[in-house]
Amino acid sequence: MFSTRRQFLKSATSAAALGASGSLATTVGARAEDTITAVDWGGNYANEIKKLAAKQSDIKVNWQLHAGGAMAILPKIKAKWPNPGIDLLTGWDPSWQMIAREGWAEPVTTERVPNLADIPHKLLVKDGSGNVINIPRTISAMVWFYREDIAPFPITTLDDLLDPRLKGKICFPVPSLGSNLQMLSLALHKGGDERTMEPAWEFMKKLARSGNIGRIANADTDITTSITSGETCLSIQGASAPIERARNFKIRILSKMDKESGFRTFIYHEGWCVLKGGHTDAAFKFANFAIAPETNAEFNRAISGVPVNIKSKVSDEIKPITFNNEEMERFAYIPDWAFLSTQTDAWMKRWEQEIAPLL
Amino acid sequence: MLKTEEAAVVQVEHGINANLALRLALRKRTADAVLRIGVIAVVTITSVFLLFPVIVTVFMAFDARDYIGAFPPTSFSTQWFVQLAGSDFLWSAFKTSLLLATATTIASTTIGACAALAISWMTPKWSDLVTTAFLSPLVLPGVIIGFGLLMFLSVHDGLPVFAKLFAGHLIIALPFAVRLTLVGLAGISETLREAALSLGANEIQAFFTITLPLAKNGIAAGAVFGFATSMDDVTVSLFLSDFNTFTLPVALTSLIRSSFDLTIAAAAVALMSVTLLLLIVLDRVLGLERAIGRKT
Amino acid sequence: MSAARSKVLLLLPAVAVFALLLVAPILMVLDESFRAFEPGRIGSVQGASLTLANYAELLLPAYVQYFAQTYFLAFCASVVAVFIAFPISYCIARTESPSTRKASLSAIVGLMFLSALVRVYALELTFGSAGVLSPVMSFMNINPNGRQYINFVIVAGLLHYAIPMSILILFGAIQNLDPRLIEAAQSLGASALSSHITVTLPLCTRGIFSAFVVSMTLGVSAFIIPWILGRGRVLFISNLIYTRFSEVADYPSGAAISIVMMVLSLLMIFSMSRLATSFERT
Repeated sequence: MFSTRRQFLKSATSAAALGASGSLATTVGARAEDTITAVDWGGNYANEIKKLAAKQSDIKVNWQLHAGGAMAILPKIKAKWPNPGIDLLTGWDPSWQMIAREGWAEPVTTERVPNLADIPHKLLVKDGSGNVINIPRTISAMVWFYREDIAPFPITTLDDLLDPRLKGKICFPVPSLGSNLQMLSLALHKGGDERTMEPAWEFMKKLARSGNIGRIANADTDITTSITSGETCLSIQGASAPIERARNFKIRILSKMDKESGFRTFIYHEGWCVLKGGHTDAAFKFANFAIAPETNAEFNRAISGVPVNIKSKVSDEIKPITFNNEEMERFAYIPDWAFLSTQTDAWMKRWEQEIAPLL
Repeated sequence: MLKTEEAAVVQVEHGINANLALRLALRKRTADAVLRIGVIAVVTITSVFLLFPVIVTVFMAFDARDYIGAFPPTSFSTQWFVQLAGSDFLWSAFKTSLLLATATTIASTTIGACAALAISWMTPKWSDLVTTAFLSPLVLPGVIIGFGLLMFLSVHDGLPVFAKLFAGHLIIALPFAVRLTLVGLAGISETLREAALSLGANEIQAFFTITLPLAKNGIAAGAVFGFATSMDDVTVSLFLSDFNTFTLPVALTSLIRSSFDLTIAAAAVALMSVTLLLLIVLDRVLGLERAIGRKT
Repeated sequence: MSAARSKVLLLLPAVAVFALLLVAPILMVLDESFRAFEPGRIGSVQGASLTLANYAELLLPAYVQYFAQTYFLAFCASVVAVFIAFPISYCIARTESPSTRKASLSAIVGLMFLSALVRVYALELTFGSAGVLSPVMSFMNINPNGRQYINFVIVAGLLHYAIPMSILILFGAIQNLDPRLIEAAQSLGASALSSHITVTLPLCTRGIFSAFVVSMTLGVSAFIIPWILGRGRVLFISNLIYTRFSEVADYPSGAAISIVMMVLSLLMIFSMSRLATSFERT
């Protein structure tokens, strides 16, 4: 934010007078030392993290946004490797697996990120050489939800998705979105799991033939737009968006449903990794600041997520996605992310061949 | 008796002829009327079809809700314009886009017009082949061009991102310059140039006095298309931008992909206003007719 | 200066740009398309083995269908666009009042600057199943959720680009016509329609083919229109390629689809170009 504002001012002043260039040279010099480039999600996330960054003055951040899902940026990094031009990259469980395999992440240690000590170790991902690669900041959940104001009847089980009254009313994400947790729900409901997806494909074919799917979502915003415009009324998405929409619409989040209903909740975390070859010290310093108890609580309150720092306070609004141990056992499912991230290609091709023609 | 019969026959024949001519004229008039009504209908329906989304966009830009709700909006505000004006991210993208589009237009128009001229002098067999080759970037999805260029240019690491973007935009704008200059040149009768040559003008004089003034529309249209293509391109730029240099559509795509934000509607309204302003300026300075249409 | 030499000199910059910025990158894509892909990696691994599997896969009926669908919808849109654009372009070129002409041209150029993303969302808000027109649809007993309707909306989306573009392309061609030719034909008794068919149209062949080819090629490589208006249910080839490149990082497969698409499209413009030339000569 600072660097772009400075660029903006720079052009404004240089248009007015040439004398300004002397003083600018110094700011440009300073920028090279402690300005990092960070890539974050847009909208809510971007606004809140910028607010957070404004509270410190050590590190200046050039904020950029993901132009697609978490995976879309990886090809760009690959093409520019070993000079990716990014210091701090946001991602989530499946993208850590990809980054670990490519060996792009600078090892994370408690010496460089002291606040990591207050973060549950279960959330840390390691690469082939045993180094931690991620700095978690938010725990969230992939949840099924529907708009009660336009749903034709109360939806209670996954089998309701085949009900003819829901004609055109379901927004279903493609397998490449959300690591196909949507079809994993179907598999779990019909007795399969991530390695036994056959039941899910069977169910999916029935669903596609039923005509109940009104839109296939390619991106997160497709889901949000489809639901808010009233095109469809039921979908599955990271909880932040439906919780925020619940302020304007009557939304029922199906996060605490019995196993028999089939509506499972998938817990994931998102956070940062620091890429090799850039301003790694400054990037670690900023990440450490952002996961401190206070800042982590504030950020997560704003984006409707659960703070990762065990010393942070949790807001009321996110009750649907906070679980105690017993609830965790009953409602939540934590998939094998490493396995999921290797299947996207095959699932996507199968989708194109078997499901898309039926829609 | 006989005479009157003859007269009657002549009269009848005359009547038939007159009737026929009248019927033909009538038929022509109805046919013309039907055509006119048909054309009016086509123009009206198309105008509504083309302009309706513009109106919807303007409404969206003033929508007070912070999500895409059902149309029409329930309340209005200028919040998206405030956000647009305050967004450093979009401003720096806009400046890059403008600079890039200008550079692209100048380069593609010059290079493309030269190439088109050379093609117009070729035999049809050759010109078909060469034209096809030059139009090929149009049929390639931006994804391939962007991805291929990214891989190719990453070999030359020192190249600034702006140069990479310029390369990508040049290749997608060039086909328009070539094709539209060719269309402009196709209408020029070869005899005019030959006449000028036979009157003692040399090739260069003939070019500047005959060919260029007549091909001007085509070249100008190519420039307009080139500028618009560069300003609007998403896919190629998406691959070639980096995190310090990026174009407006790339910035808007990030916004749209991350969380749909109506700032993009406000940006579109602003862009359209700028375009209108540009057109007015162009008209005052140059005369729109001369820039796009032909009025020599 | 000899004609041949000036020809070469004029062509040189364009040829250099193409060789460097198009041919070389495409060759890299071609190379990638023959590489084996290892799931879970990003692109082909250094020194991956050569394979034809990426191409063989495209012979599956499902993929043939994607190609057929893309070309068919783009074709429909292009034909309609030229049909509609021709009379409009003619009216603008021949209108008596210069201010009308100016206003129309400004509007059309202005339309071309309407951001693609915004345009598509606006069309979605208009034609979508929850759009402004949905009461009309239910009144006319049209199912806004059917595949045919989605195809129709995509064609409408393509037209929104193709019509203004075709109008501008045809405008140049029509402006270069001599209006006295039509007047002569009509004074000899031909109706407006037949005089246009026999006089105007043949003289605009180049322009008409140009408009058609440009609309067709833009339609075939359309990305955002089917992406949003297709509701993820109708996919174009570009959408498949994009998924390969950016969602699953399977470059080799994406590269193979790209190459096939490129070859098909080049064949198409080449034959259209030949057709236009032969029309012109007769």
